[in-house]
Amino acid sequence: MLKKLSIRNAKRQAKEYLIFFATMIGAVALIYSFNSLVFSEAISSLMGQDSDTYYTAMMTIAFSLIIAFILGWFISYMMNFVLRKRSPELSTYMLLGVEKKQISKMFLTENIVIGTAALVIGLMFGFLLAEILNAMLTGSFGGTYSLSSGFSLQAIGLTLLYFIIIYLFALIGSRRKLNKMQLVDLLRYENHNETYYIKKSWIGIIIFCLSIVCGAVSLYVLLKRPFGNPMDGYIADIYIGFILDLLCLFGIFSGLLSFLHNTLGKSKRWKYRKTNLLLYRLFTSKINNMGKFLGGIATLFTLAIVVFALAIAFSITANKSVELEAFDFTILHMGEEYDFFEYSRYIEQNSAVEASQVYSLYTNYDNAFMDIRNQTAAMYLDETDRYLQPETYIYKENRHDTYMKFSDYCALRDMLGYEQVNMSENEFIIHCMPYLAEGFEEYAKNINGISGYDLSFAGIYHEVFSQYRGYGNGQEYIFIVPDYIAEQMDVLYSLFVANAQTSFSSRFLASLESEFNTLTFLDSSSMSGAGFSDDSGFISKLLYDDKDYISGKSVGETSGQELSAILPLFYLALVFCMIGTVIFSVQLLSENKKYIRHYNMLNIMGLDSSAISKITGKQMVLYFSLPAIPVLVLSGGLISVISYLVFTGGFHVPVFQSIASVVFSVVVATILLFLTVYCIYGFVSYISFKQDILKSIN
Amino acid sequence: MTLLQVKHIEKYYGNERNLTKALDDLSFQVETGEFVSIMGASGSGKTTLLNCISTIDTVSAGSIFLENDDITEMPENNIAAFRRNNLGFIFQDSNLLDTLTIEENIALPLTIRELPPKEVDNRTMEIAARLGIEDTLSKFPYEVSGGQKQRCAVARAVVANPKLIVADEPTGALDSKSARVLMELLNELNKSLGATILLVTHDPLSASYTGRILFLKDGKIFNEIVKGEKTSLAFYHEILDVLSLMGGDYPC
Repeated sequence: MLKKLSIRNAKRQAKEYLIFFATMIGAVALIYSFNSLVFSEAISSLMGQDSDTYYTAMMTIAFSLIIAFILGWFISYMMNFVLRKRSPELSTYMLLGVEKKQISKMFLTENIVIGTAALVIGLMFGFLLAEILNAMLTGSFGGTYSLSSGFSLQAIGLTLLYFIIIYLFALIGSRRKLNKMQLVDLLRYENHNETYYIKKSWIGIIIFCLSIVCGAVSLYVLLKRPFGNPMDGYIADIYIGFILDLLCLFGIFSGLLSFLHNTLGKSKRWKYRKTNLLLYRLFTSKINNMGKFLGGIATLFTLAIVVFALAIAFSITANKSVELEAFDFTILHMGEEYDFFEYSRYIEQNSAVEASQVYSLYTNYDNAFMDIRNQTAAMYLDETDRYLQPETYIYKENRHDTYMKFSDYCALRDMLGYEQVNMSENEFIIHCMPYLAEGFEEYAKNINGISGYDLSFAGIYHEVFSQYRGYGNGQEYIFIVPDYIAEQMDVLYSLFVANAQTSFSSRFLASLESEFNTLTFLDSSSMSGAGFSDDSGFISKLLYDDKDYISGKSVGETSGQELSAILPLFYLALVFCMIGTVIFSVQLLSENKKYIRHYNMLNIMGLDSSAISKITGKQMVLYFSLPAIPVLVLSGGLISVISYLVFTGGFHVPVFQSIASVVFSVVVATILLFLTVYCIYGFVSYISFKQDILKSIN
Repeated sequence: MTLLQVKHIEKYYGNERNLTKALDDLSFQVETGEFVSIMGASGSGKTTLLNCISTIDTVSAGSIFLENDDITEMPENNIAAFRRNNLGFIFQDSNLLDTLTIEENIALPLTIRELPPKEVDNRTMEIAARLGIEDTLSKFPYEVSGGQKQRCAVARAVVANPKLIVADEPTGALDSKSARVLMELLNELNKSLGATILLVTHDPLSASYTGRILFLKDGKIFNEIVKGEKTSLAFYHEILDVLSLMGGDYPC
């Protein structure tokens, strides 16, 4: 009998606490999809290197553990909430003589039924989500997506493990609570009256004002960074800003009630206008009931936003790195002209090459433009508070001015779909990254030739041309000279570049490397430290003299590290956001009975259903704005500084037209992302809330 | 002048197989400025009658006129506005909104009518002074006694000058002293403001403060007595006589 009751209760509970059930499904789906993604072949090959895969796996597992902990807390919170809500029902069982042990067993059965259902449905959604994420990620990093064959056993195993741990943790907690409960407590719960507690006015107002000051100081510290040292990434400013944010969030919600009470509450002119009185009291009673809890929720939201911002900033950095590569695939051969015949034959036979080109770069070992480049870059580094010597971010091979034949340049422009350019036999062209264009143009116009050749300046171009991070077409700039002049110079290195119809698959790249023992991947995962330094003081990435080096968009050489951070970050942020919002929504829905009574009374007093519907809408907007507004304002500062540091730290030269606008775009994207998740839950809560209210008055 | 006319109303609950007749061909009328009470045992239909008159419930047959408006024919959309403009309510457990102060609870019907804030404030203060509850105005309902809560509920019911005040067992949750004070207050309001009050009670003492009593039994009017020039005590005894005639669970 009790078993039947448990199963029926589980069904009813799932319906009643749909939002809780949906979140559990969502959590399982997230845990599964991210774990599955980490172990998927596509992603691991996209990363290219085993160390990255390992790193991502470890990161995701670590993040999953954090999430498991938070989910454990969430589920135990929800179970206790359900327990409290059902106290009248449980007290009836106890009055009828059902033993606590049996009730506890019944509760356990119910939760196991709900948990299993959430697990099964969650795994199915997780499978779908993993496929979508897989497609999105491989797409955004230049790989090819193919539908995976089925469930990932490793991911299912891990998801099960996490879920069982989470559930056991929560169940033990609620079981202990249930055993402690006395019949009299259960009976009294429903009659619990709301008490209004307003702190001594002046203390509340002082707390509120101080928290506003904390918020303002935090924004100042984060945006101006007066304490930190650029060398350590302004860690002091970030810490101080974050602590002030927390103080502000907790303070605001502690003092807001007194503040409102002494401002709006005392102004009868405002209060008695239209529906202000009702809204004011609905709002203040909620603040009164939630108090510090609001501070906790706001902190969780702030964390979610910061983590979202980090993920977005890393994602933009990763995309930018890929974007700066003009070619899908490049092989570099050092020191001489080279025909790449063996490689190109193999590549053409084994992949869908759309266009390819073989050419060489030349040098005369002069540094006229390199000095201007260094000055421009130093100005940028100075502006961004970083003090780097050119040796630490310019590679040995690219430390002099570099030249290219005009005929090769035309062929490459054609291959990349750029507009063709004209140049006569006694002219030269500069192709550089946009940040150098202005300074170079000014300088080039005032000189009579370059590198001892009597050439006049024909123009400057700055389309994407694989010029960032060395070993491409120069260190951010290259001179295009007539062929006969280039032939008089020394060959710096030769390049084979190719673009594929879609992109070169990671499997193909691996097979290419194993086919030729003269080929290896160019490791450019970080700017310095990954190469070796010689007497010149400059470092080199070309570790072996007898090898040719593969790089390019398809290799995903720049995306591995960022990807390993982006995935778990998104994962963490989503879970923070979802859990915070659900708990916040449940807090509101838990008081449905009170609100139903409230609105019923208003209806009897003559407020019609359309007016009530409007008030519930306004009540919802106010309720959901309560933590969101301070959180969005304060986290704006945190997001700005964090994304600024990611963008300036990720690139040693200005690759964005304006960092401020990219930082702004991160702030906007993060807020939109957060608000989307927040509003979805808010809307679902609103609909459910409104339906309950309107149903009761009709 | 007749304010309320109840004509042959019937109210059924349940389905064809199990039909309960809560009100059975019931008719009466209330004049403007009258203080009328309805008495009856539990299940006699008195609260159903009050709910039908106050548009909280609908009748199965018959008509109810407030002045010239037949409220049984009123479109759904107009009912809330009708209540807002014509009726004041007093409930057994006061039904004050516990998140509003006493003052705000009194002001609530006026803000619902969207009166100018200044007028809302003036009228709230005026009625609070008349009812002697000025010193509780800034308190919340949980901070005041049951009697004070009911005074506040009375203030809320009369503050908008409704045509009819309906009171459902207003003394039901009060001790005898507070009940007496509340009935004296209602009596005073009836006399000084000319408020028309329709009160449902099963307390003979409370009913003895009213001018006319309708006794309900099984959904029908069993008897009707008028106070006239009688003293409250005499009227009280007359009520007890009627109740003993009706039988049932009444105190003596």
